[in-house]
Parts: sequence; structure tokens; C-alpha cells
Amino acid sequence: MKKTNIKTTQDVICPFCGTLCDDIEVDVDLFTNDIVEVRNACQIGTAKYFSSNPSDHRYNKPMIRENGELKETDWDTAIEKTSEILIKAKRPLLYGFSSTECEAQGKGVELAEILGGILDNTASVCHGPSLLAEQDVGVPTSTLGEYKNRADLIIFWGCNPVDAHPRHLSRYSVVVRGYFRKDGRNDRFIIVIDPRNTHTAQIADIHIQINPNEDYELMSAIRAMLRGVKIDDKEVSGVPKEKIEELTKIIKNCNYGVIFFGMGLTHSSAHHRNVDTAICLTRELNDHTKFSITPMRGHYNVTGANVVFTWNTGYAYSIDFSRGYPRYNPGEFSSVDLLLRNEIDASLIVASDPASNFPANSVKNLFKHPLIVIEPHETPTSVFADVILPPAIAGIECEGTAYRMDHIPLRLRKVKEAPNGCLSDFEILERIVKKIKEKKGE
Amino acid sequence: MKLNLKKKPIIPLEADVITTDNFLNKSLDEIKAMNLFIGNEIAKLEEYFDIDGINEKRGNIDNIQIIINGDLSNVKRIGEKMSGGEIIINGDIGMHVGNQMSGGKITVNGNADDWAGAMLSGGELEINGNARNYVGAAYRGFWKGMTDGVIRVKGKIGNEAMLWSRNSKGANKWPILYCGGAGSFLGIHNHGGTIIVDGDVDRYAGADQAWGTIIIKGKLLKKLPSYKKIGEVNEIKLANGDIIQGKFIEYSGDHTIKKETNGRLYIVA
Repeated sequence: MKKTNIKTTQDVICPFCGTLCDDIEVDVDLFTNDIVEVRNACQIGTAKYFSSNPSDHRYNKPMIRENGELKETDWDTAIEKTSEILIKAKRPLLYGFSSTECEAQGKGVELAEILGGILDNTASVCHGPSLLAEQDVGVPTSTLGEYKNRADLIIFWGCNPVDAHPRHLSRYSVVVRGYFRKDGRNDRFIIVIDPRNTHTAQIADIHIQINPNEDYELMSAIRAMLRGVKIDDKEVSGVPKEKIEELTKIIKNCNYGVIFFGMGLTHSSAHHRNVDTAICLTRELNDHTKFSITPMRGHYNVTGANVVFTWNTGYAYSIDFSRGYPRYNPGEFSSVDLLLRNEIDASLIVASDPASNFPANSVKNLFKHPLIVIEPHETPTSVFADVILPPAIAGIECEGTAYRMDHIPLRLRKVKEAPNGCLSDFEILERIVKKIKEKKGE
Repeated sequence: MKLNLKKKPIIPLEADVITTDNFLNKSLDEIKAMNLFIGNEIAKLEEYFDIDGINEKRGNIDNIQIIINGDLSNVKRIGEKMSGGEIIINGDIGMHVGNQMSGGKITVNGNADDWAGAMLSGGELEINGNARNYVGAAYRGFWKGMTDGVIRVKGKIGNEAMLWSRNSKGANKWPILYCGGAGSFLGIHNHGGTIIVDGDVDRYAGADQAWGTIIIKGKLLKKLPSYKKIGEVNEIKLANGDIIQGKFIEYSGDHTIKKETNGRLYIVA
């Protein structure tokens, strides 16, 4: 009897990390509207699906802070209050967007433009340095399918996909069998360069344990060696010269190599310059063999946020609309820097939790001013909000488009109904935009 | 002309109208009514500044002198794209002072924020305090940064100064930066800029330098492995003809770009 109530949806795209696995199967109990089983997804992805089930942490109704207490209200009042706060602000910040779908991101751009505010996404504290480096020196990259079928040398530099992108290895990079790599893991050589002995390092053929914050030096040494220069130093970033020469020989002699890099490059001391030199290294390796480089993007649609912002404004993140046209300058218009300098006088956070990720001083300044969150769950940010607008979770309770880490757009699927008729991120932002236009008489 | 800041703005004030070019041939009333940008609003110059002095309509930009007093650490873009005359700033100054300037002189008697003298193509910027990151640097995505002119900073500067700086032998353009000390990645992607540092420098000076000269009279915290020692020299002849005396160790690089390179790094012996 119970079996007939279960609806199974196949080939669902997992809305968790940048790998966007597209083979998930989800069982939903139609009577209770609960997810009962998730197949094929990794532990983290599965947990995200189950988080959509009713719980103490899930908001069902919009809330407004009155006399210091959060009180439930209706959508009209919440949208009215939101637009009042945003119109009053001289320098509003719109931040987040990486864990929602592209249509909502597009509406976010429109809202930032009519407000004359600042628009930023989580790349600002994640792979923003990679984007800066790409603007300086370009990027030789490819799709994950190409790596799956062709790559015989994989370098994981400053990233730990076993824990952060669990299915990346089995779907695209390590154990998967490809058209020209029929023997899977045996046909691939894995190098991990990381100061930590991570789980990824443990499955590698070579683990080069470099000194923290010295990635730039090692890459400089390899690049000089590729030019046929004998370096003066006997040891670079804790690695003996002979070992670097051996490493250079291995990467020169592969058929198709790829560098995957993560926060270890973008957030160690040289930041975007690490990525800059990694890209130059990849470019120069193409004189000897075929080489590509791909950032391991975290949030499932942070690539989409960059793409959507770019096609609307010309810039991927840290965009300022205060003078009516988009301007771009990370460091000047990026969220953390703005908040540290206390320049923001109201903020709208969409699908993100800056209170857990930003430096403490910037979070303090965030909470000093009116704060609106579009967020389905209780988070350290939402508990301090003045207005909470609970959306349907994109990719589970509503459809949309998301971009994989290699810039491939995939269609997210709806597997169940949103609780209590919650609106999608897109519908919420659309209503805010409409309200603000009405109030401004446009 | 004298401008006195009335009150330090909380939100940054964009004052790109305060340049000698904009003030040229303008009456006092016209100057008072110029637009400043604060957040998403527009303010008039007289709302934030007391303006003294008569602007003489001489029609020659080199006769214009603007003196600005006050804590301008939250006022951005003063002297943007100016081509002559003089601005003297008594106090700390915000971001982008003298960016894309092509002539004239700006003196800051205080500290400067990021992007001071970014993409300078002529003129002189003098900072008698410290300056933060990206002094004389290229803006994001530009492959040509500072192309000519001089920047002198008495104190320390931040990271990535003279990013993508570019000389031109044919046009006799030699961008030069003098400073008292510098952060990391000094002269990164340098294509012919000259940098002379009196004090110490943080890591990786001259990273990815194609050609150009970096002279450090103090210590370099960490030299890149892609720089190779050539020998010792007793004087250095700069591209613009100046000579610097002293015993220096000469390195060539950055060899990540080329096997044989004209890029030089001198560190005091």
C-alpha cells in the first residue's frame, strides 16, 4: 500500500557542489511531501535533499523583527518592509546568489541596478582570486567530459575533492573509465600538491608536501625549469631541487594533463597571483603537451552567478551600480572589504550565510544595519535578520538553470512541492523589484 | 584655490571632479555646483567643501593650484585624469588619487589609500606618508599599467605596486617609482618600469617581470627561485640616464618568462 505513494524522479541534478552530478534518483512520499530516499548522491548531497523536509530549522512563513522579536507575517507585509529598507539605503549590498538558480540571479542584477547598490556573489570570498587571475592572463580550460575521456595526468593543487567534491573522482577525474582511458585509475597518474596529508593525497601516486603559503615559489621554479633554466636554489618551498626536476619531467611527458585547484591556491598568501602563475604554467606546458586548468568551484551555481552577472553587467562579481552604470573593483566593491570599512547601510543576502564565513569584524558591521535574508533555513545570519523571506529550495522544490564548474549549463529539476506555498527565489526577487519600481514611480 | 573638507563622510565620497582640468576657466559658482557622488546619491561640491579663492580664468592649466585640507581618507578619485597644474593635499587621502593622470603634480602630505597613481601616463605624484596597495598599478584586466611619469612615496607602499607597468623606448617613456619600502609582488608583470626602494621589501619582488629594473637598498624577504645571480656591481645606470652608486648584487629574471632576459633585480650587497 505504502509503495504506491512514492514518486521517484530520475536523472536529477544535485544542487550542492560545483560537480553538479546529474544521475541522482529521489523518492518523495506524495502524502507527506517528504523526501524518503536519495540514491547515487554523495553524503553531502543526500543531506541537502533531506534538509528540505520539515524541521525546526526550516522557515515556513516570512518573518519581520518587531521590538527585537522575529514575528511571522504575510508575504505582502514582508515585501513591503523589504522594499522600504532597500529604498531608504544609500549604499545597499546584495550578496549571495551562488546557491540559487540563474533566473533568480538575473533578477538580482535588475534589483541592484534599480537600487544603485552593490552586487556581489560568494566568489568574492571563494574563487574570486581565480577570476582576477583569468582577467590578467586568460585561461586554457576544458570541460570535465574531456578530462574524463582523455586526461592521463591529474594534478590536484591545494584542493581535497575526496572530502569537498566526493563524486568528482568517480565521475570525471580519477577512477572513471574514459574513451581513451579504458582502464580508469590505472590509466591515470595522480599528483597531489598540498601542505596537508589529505584523503586525496592518500590516494595519489605522488604527494608533494610543500610549505604552506609557498605555492608561488614552486610554480616559479617549475616554470623556469620548463624554459631550460637551472635554478640557483637547492630547495624550493621545502621540496628538493631534484624532486622538482623529476616532477617537471613527469608533467612534460604526459599526453593530456589537467590541474584542478582549490582554496589552497586562492586563499593562501599569494591569492590571485598563485592562480595567475598556475595559469601561466598551464599555458607554457602546452608547448610540450596538452594541458588544461580548472578551478574546483564550491557552491553548485557560483559559476552561474559569475556567468549571469557577466552577461548582464560585464563583470563577474564585486559590481557597484551607485553611479547608474556597473563598475568593478574587488577590494573596493567586494563585500568583506565594504563591511570592514563599514560602508554598507542595508543588505539583502540571498541563499548565503556570510555570518559563518566572513571575518568577525565585517559580520559585526553587517548586523549594525538593516538586514534582509532570502533563506530557507535558520542560519547564523538569518537569526540576526530584520526580514526573513523563506523561499522554495532551488533544484529540489523549483526548477532553474545551474552552471557546472566547467561552465556547462544544466537544468535543475523539481522533485517535490515547497512547504506552505513558499515562493521561489526568482518570484520573491521579482516581487521586490515590482514593489520598488512602484514606489519609485517607474 | 583652497578647499577645506567640512566633515569626513561616512560613506566614501567620489570627488573625481576635483581636478585642475575641471576647474580650468570655471567661475566659483560653477565649481560650487559641481557634482560629487556619495552612495547612490548626488551631492554638490559646496555641501562637503568650503571653497576659498578666486579661480583666475587665465586659460592655462599650469597656473592652477588647488590646495585641499582635511581628513580626506574617505574621499576618492581626486585628480583623476588630470593633465597639468598642481594639487596639494594636506591630510590623508582615499583611493585612486591621481589615477590615469597624464601631467602636472599632486602632492599628498599624509597617507594614501589603494590605487594611488594607478595607470599614470605622465606627471608626478608625491606622497609624503605611506601608500597602500596597487601604487601605479594597472586596473583589473589591463595589460598596460603605468606608462610614464614619476611616483615618489616617502614611506612604505603595499602589495603589487607597478603591476603591468610598461616603458616605451621609441617614445622615450620611462615610468619610475621611488619608495621607502614595499609589500609583496613589487613590480609584478613588469615590462620596463624602474623601481627604486630605499628600505625593505616583502616577498617575490619582480615576479613575472619581462624586462625592467628593480633596485632594493634594503632586504628582500624572499627572492623567487626563478631569479639567477649574475654577479656584483658598483653602480647602476638607469634607463633614463640616472646613475645609482653603491655595491649591489645583480640578479636576472624573471626566468619564468624567458631563458635569456633583460629583467634585472639589484639587492644591496
